[in-house]
Amino acid sequence: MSMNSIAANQSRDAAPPKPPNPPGRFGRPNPLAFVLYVAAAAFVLVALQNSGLSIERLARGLPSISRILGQMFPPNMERLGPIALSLFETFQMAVAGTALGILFSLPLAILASRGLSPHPAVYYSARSLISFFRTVPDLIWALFFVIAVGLGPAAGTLAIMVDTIGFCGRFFAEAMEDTDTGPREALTAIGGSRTGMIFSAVIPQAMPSFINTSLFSLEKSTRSSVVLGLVGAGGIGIELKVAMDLFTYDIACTIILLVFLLVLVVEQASGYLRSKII
Amino acid sequence: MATSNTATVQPVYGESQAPAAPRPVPVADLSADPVCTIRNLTKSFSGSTHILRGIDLNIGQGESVALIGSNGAGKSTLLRCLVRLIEPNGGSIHLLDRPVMELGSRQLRRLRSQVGFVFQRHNLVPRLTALTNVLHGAQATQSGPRVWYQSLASSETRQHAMHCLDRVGLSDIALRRADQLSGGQSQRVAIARTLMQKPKFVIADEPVASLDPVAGVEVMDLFVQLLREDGITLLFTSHHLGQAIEFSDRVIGLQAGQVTLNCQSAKAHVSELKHVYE
Repeated sequence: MSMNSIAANQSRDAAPPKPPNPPGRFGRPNPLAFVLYVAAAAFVLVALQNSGLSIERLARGLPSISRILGQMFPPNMERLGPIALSLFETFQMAVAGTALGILFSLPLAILASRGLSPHPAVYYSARSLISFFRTVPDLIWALFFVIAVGLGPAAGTLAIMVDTIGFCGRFFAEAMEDTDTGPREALTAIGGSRTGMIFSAVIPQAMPSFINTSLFSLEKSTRSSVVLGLVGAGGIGIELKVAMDLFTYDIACTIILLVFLLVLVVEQASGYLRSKII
Repeated sequence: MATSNTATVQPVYGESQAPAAPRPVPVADLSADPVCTIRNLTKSFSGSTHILRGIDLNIGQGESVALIGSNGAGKSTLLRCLVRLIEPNGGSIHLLDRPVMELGSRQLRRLRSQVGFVFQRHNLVPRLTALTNVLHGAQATQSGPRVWYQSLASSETRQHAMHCLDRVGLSDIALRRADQLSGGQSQRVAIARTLMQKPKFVIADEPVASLDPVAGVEVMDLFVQLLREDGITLLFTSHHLGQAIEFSDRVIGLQAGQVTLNCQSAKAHVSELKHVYE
């Protein structure tokens, strides 16, 4: 047996080298991160304590809850017609407000998209405006428009429109930023205009996301439109408030069930449309 | 186009004896009337990474020029600098009788409208039909919604787009979405888009690199044949040395941002072109 073959046999018999140990399951947090974790946990505990929630208080409230539920059922159907009409008005507010919001959010989203905005100043202004529309709650917008245009569905529609601009503007802008830049480059390379590039290369790519966001926005607006009536901005909210104020919980139950039905139908329909279109 | 790949590499200018390895080559003045003249072109990123280091090049009317070189040699950067998709740092470019570096944005768009650009990744808009993608080539000379979607286009433009699709053999799938096409079909649509533009000069960045070898040769064959029929000048990059020789009149090698090889394809041999990759 040659020296080479002996060496080969020895190396075959030798135990394979031990692989290195895996790294620790959890990395050690840096001191600053650790302090922030502890501070966040402490803040949550303090917030829970200051909210006044307690098991004892909940236990004391249970008889009232069961009394109200008892008075709610069976639901009172005497005012079904006017309530249904009011609910339809609520849904119309949601549809009109969402449609207007989508319409206005598209140009604003273009200005708020990195790479599509004509100037950094325009980009930051558009982003700031969208953030402002989004962060102010819709109920506050409703109060504002009730003062501006008076009581009724017009105020609610405007409030939903502004809220939709804040919601869709942000997601439309992000959807356009996430599109493949290849088609844009192709049209830029042949001297195409910025408008042409946006409408023929960016928007078609972002369209599934636009449809998705718009349908979510309609669902959100339908839920919001119910509440806006509480401040006089039209819709079924005022009916619910009156029923609660007069302790006619059976009528309130009818309204709540119809609102639930409407939201359910809108969610199912938008889910179906999403699956069909996208 | 040259088909021989058996002759030895001969620099266009310089000593008559072929060098063992590529070395910097003087500018080849192949054409008395070049459509593209590049002088001392430089480009660096972040001020320190030098991609192009003084490129000198002439390309004659109707010529087909292959640009070869390893990854990072500066091929794609050079192509993009020609129409200022990437802004060069220094030097001069004269393309189609225009000083590219001195053009304002409107003049640059006018120049780009005469320069076709074919990309490795096709850069089609995925959700739109093949016909609409071809129609986008008309954005080089027209603007407005009538060149955004085939359904909005004039009969004359639609007819021309169909003619371009027919030239690449895809008129039967005009209404198929781009994301449902094979790689070879996608690149044919991209070529049809370029034909729609009616360019005088075409730049192609590794046009068949994403295709299998058979489809790659077929598409390249069709591409070069169509451009020759229309008398269009072509500058393309390729990592496939056989194709570089077969489909070009001249091969130019780039190494670390410098032209180190400039030879006629008829006298080039694959084994000698490989030196560019060392």
